Amino acid sequence: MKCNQDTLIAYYYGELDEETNALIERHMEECMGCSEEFKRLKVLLDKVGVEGRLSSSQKPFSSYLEGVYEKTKKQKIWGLGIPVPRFVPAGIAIAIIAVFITAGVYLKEYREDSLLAQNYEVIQNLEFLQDMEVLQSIEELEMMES
Amino acid sequence: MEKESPDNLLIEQFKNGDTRAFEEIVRRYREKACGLAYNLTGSREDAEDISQEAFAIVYRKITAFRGEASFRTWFYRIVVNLCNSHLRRRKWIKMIGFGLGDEDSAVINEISINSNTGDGIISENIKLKKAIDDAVKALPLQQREVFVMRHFHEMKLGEIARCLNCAEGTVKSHLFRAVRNLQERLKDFAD
Repeated sequence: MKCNQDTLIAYYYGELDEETNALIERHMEECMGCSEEFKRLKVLLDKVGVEGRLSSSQKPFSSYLEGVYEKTKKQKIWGLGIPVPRFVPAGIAIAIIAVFITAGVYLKEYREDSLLAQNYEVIQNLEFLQDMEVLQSIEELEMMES
Repeated sequence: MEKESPDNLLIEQFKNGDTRAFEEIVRRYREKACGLAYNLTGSREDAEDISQEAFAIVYRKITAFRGEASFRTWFYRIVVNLCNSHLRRRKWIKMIGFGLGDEDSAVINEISINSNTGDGIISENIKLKKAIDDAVKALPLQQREVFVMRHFHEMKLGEIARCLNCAEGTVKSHLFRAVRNLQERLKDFAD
């Protein structure tokens, strides 16, 4: 039999048949590595087993049961049997995205308006210069014609 | 004729409208449901809430239980599904930015309250409990589900497979990975 950590885990949990269990026990008698590995595994998992459990609930049974009945009523109010609260986070996310998009559009418009207001004089001057250029070119044309 | 198990008898009585049978089911499974939810969510308050929700579903949907699997498998499946939805919701809330507070310190507080150290010094046992809590909580969800059901609730791999609706081989591989992960994370406490 080959050394295999997964088999040791399955052995610890009693998930193997009797024949395989006997094979592993024989293997561990001969193989110090597996024997040590199993000891370490057992110590750790036993500790997890003792420490990892939830100590008993402190709420009295009657008030706990009251909470259960309260929830059955609430679920009837929701009606339709649809787990509505599941969609609440998605709804909030969609609302936030919608707010961002709307704010983005308004911000863009606001920026354009404020840019126009800031550069209003420049734009006016540009228009004036354009007019000047037109006049100048008319004058040039007239000169050429004459 | 096969002898009916007490669970099935209670279910039948409840189906016939006997609410005392339902209350007996709650009494019988309350600790287990709270424990499973606590091991999966890491929060005592949420665990209590989820377990109550699970019993409320049993109350409303008992007719949907046809007895193909054992009541325990069916019920644990409800608890696991509720825990998954709860964890998804918590992830969303975290993502959106409504922080839930420091869960680690909550665990420490909870442990401190439950242990009778009195002097406020975190003892070795509390450190170990905290390390185990953290290590189990840090496992990927599927590994955590399988490990918690096998280790804390002593369910057989076949029953876990039926409960999670997946192949027994998948359950086995999640369990092995979970144990290896825990060994790695808890190597300081191995001795």
